[in-house]
Amino acid sequence: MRHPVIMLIVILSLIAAEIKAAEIADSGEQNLLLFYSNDVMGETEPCG
Amino acid sequence: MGGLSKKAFQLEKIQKLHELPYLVLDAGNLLFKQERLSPGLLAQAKITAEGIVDSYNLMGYDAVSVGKNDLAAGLAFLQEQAAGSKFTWLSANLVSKSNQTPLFTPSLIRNIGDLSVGIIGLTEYDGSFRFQENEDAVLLPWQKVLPKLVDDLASKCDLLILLSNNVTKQNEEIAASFSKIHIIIQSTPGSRNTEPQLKNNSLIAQTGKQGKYLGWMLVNWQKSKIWGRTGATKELALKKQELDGIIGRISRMERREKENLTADTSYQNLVNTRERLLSEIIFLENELYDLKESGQAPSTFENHFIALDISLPDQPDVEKIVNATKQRVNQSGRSQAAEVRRITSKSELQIENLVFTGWQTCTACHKAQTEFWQRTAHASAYQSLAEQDQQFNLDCLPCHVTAEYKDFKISDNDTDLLSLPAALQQVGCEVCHGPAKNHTASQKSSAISRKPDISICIRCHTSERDETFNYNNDIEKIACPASQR
Repeated sequence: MRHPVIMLIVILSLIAAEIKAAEIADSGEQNLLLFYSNDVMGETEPCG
Repeated sequence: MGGLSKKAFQLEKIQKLHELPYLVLDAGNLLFKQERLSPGLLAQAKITAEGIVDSYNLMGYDAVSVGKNDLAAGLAFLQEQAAGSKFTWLSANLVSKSNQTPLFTPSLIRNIGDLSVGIIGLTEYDGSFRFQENEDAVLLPWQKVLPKLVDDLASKCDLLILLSNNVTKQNEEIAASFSKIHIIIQSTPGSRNTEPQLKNNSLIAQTGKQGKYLGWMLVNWQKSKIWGRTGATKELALKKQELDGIIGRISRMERREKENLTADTSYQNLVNTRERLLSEIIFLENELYDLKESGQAPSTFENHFIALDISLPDQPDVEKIVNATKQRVNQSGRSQAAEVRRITSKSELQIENLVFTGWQTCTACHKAQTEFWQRTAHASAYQSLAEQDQQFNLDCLPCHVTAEYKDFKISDNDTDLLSLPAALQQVGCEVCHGPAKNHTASQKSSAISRKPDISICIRCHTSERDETFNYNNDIEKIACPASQR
């Protein structure tokens, strides 16, 4: 059986994560990743 | 295009790490290096362009704006590529000349997580671009297309992104004119990595030239739809700290010398600084207070650039596309060379008709020097291409053969490089010292250059190809032993 303290930490972490998720939904904010690039055709590596 | 497989690997890695909704965008000038390509280079450049589109399809790009360079192989070629692309090619200002209808999708809306994101594409308009005679196309200035488009999208979207092929100055004007455009990703030619700069309510960002970097932003987008002054709270604390110091110095001066202080310029400067800081602090405090009161926290971002260094891992599927594309390019060059041989009935350019003589001619009088040169990488430059099956790649060849010196080129026809005699299939003596035909005839040292200047070296040893190149150090490594003549 796992140590009760570890179990408690895991449970508390899960509760905290749920609270954070609820906060995000309520506040209307959204996190996103935006990848960007340009001018791809270049000499990114030597020919030989 | 070797950086594509490294970019793909990093995309996957960051996506997995953050597990957030994402968008993958490109601001254009994707397919070709220049606005115009010589006919000889076109066939190979088109194959490379097709390989890039295939790689982008696999990487899951959402949209790419049409850059002027993307039109180098003609409008029809780009439209053909667009039809085979899984991502959307965007341009709001590239329209039919006859009826003004857009030739590519002007904008699109993507739903990312809980956000509705509008994306607009713009092709650079500077009035100079000339379409081919048979192309029914014209570019319009952004002032003509953006107002209606931005209004329309802003009413439907939470976040509005512009992919712009315009130069920075134009993009700053766009940012000043449209506070509803929140992010501008630009593809200004020759630019370095540009950390997002806030102009009006638009962040303007760009990755460095030649696809050597991947930019990514972690965006925390708020209902307020405004960007926060990054670190406003920290800035306020710093200003308060500075003000404390100034007030302390003023007090000490006033205690020491009660009279004639008004005539003391250092005292007056401190008083002026105190006034300036007070007004800046009041401004920042008001700004933070207003945001707090309205319940509208500002949006924030965290920007990163990843250098697509040669040592980074490759994404295997994109690497396969890149390698297959290189093979197709080489095969195309091989066929071009065979075609030239068929037409001219000659296996190669005739060395007696050229001003370059080849390194063997130099050996007759400069034996020690040519023996030294044979041990350098210059001597095996062509061989190293052949070993990678890239000896017919016209993108690579100019830097692996003896065919160019300063403004002089062996031929204006790029495909002639495919028919060079074996005597010129190395970076030979004449690449550094100049064509030797006159020198061999006259034996005069004035007809040859003794030490190459830096401009000769950086034609090939560009920062993109050879980051560690240092003229003063590297010239010593290839310096021939002193001539006894």
